[in-house]
Amino acid sequence: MSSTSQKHKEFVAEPMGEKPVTALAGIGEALGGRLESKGFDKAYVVLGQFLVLKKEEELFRDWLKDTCGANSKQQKDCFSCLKEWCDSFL
Amino acid sequence: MSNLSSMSDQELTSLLDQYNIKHGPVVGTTRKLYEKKLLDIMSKEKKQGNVKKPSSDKTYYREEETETFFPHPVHYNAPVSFSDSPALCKLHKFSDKRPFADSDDSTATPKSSSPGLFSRSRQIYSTEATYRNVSQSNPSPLTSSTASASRSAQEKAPQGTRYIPLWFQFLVFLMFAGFLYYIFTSMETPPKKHFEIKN
Repeated sequence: MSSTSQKHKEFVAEPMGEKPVTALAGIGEALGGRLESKGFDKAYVVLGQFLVLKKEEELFRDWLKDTCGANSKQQKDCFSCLKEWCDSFL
Repeated sequence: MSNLSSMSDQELTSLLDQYNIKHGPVVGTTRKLYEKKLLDIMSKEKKQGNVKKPSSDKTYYREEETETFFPHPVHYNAPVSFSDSPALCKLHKFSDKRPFADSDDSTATPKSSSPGLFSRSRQIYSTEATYRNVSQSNPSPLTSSTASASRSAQEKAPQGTRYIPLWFQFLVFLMFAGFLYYIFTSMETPPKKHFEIKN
C-alpha cells in the first residue's frame, strides 16, 4: 500500500496555480465545501494559511480540524501534501 | 485575560510566548486558533490549581490508607518467603499508582520489616502528594471512596472493604499451597508403585 495517494502525487508534481481546494490530498467534497464557505476557495489560500502557521504540523492540523472538521488521516494527508509541495516549489 | 477576543494581536502574541506555544503571526485567519489554544492551556492551569487544594487534604487520608494496605505484604511475608514485588504489585493495583511503583520498590524492598515499611510509606506518600498535585483528577474519586472505606475499616476491625479481599487472597494462597502439597504427596506414591512393579 503506497503511503501517498494518487491525488497527493498529482498535486505535488506541478505548481498549484488556480487549482481548487478539493485538489489537495485529504480534502474531498465535504471538507472542500466547508473550506470554501469560510473563504478558502482555492488551494493557494490554504497554502497561505499553511505558511502563516509557519508550516508547523500541529498548528496546521489543529486549524484544519477546527475549520472544516477534518479527521486525523485527512489532516495528515493534507499537511504532507502541502509540505511536499513547498519542499519542491517554494 | 478573561476575554481573549477583546485582546489585540500583540497581546495574544505575548500570551502565546508566555505559555511557550509555538505560533506564527496572529492574523485574521489564525486568531481563532490561537485563542482556542490559549483557552485550553488556561483551563488546564485552572484545573491543576483546583486539584492542588483538595489533594493536599486527600494525601492525609492516603497516609491512613497505607496503613491498611501494608497488612497485605506483612501477611504474605510471614508464612512463605514470597518476594516483596508481587505483594507490592497487588498494593499498587489497589492504590492504582503505577508511576509511584518505582519509588515504592526501590525504597521498600531492601528492608522487609513492617514498621520500616510503615514509616517509609508515609515518607513516600508525602512526596507523592506533590506528584498527585501534578497528576490529573482521575485518582481523586478513587481516593475519596477508598479513604472513607479505609477509615471505617480502621475503626472497626473485622468487617471492611479492605479485609474481604485480604481473606480471599489468603484463601487462594492456602488453596495453592494445598495444591502444591497434593502434588508433592502424589509424587511420593508413584515411585513406590514403580518399585513394586520392578519387584
